[in-house]
Amino acid sequence: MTKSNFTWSILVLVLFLTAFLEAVLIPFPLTLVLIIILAFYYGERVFVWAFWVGLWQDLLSWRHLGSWSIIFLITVYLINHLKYRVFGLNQEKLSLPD
Amino acid sequence: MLAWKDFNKKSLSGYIFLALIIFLLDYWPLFVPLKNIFNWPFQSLRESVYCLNNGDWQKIFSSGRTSSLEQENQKLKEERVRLIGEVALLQGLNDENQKLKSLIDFYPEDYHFLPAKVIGRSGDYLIINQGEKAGVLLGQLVVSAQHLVGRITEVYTHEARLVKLGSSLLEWPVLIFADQPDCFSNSIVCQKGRGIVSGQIIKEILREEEVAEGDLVVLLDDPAGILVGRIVQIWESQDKLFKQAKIEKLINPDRLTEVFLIVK
Repeated sequence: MTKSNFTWSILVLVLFLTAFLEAVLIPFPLTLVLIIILAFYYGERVFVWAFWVGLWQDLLSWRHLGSWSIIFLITVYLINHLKYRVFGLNQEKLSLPD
Repeated sequence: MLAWKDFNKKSLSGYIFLALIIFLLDYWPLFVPLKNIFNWPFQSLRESVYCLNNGDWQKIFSSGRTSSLEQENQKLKEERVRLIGEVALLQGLNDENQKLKSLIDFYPEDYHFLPAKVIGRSGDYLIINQGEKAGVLLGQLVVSAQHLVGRITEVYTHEARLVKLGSSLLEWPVLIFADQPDCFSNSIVCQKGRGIVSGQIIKEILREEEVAEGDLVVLLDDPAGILVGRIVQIWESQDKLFKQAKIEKLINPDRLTEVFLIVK
């Protein structure tokens, strides 16, 4: 496992733990904040995890299934859009290698 | 596998579409088995978290002794609630006793009373929880202390319906007398006039009778002296032969919960 993959795995784990904490303990959108940060640094790679973490959080918090997924995905899209189109940051530098 | 990789590359639109599909499908009970499977291992965790959210930290981290004390405390609380219920019941019985005592003091000795609870109302009628089985008869008068409530018009096995005081469905011959001390127990002496009450209007009061606003109205007979209301307005009838008066009820039949049927 490369260092990059290891870091990414830890981040995904933290993401799921944060969703758990938010659903059961802290009434504050911690996961959304974390998704925003990850979307800024990791770009489109976050899409897949935004989707699954959304489902996980819906199941934990007894919400309508898919609602948090949609919110997270739209957030990730907006962050990416702002980053590339509005702030003009270089997409190639921020995207993760294949 | 290739399709999944391809799907991953397309990313956003695919995931949003998938999330939307899941969102829409969740309006049907399609995911209930999945939710049940998911919730089963988390049930005890949820309970702990619910306690945490309620600030009930002791329930989770309490020792055996603390736990037994809490159980004892819970039992004491339940006992307290039960005792409060008993006190309320005794208070109700005491109230009923007081009402019966006032009835016995007011009415002749040969009258008896059958207590009944008001269990409903519709329009001009009240429904009580005593019927044919308890000896309720058509035409029986229903009172609350010294106040008239109505007259029984329909009797069923375990229920009866009565027409409320103030309904135009019934007419009562009444006596009007001054609202002065000692007049209530001796209304015949203090009487000022007679009439027939229908609804909230007293008709056929003779013109020469000196009735006035504030006078009390009682039933004329069978049994006499039951309060019907108080006169609030007087005017002459259209044919100028009689006076008419409007009365206000001294009780609100719609608010009653307990009444008494007069048994001769």
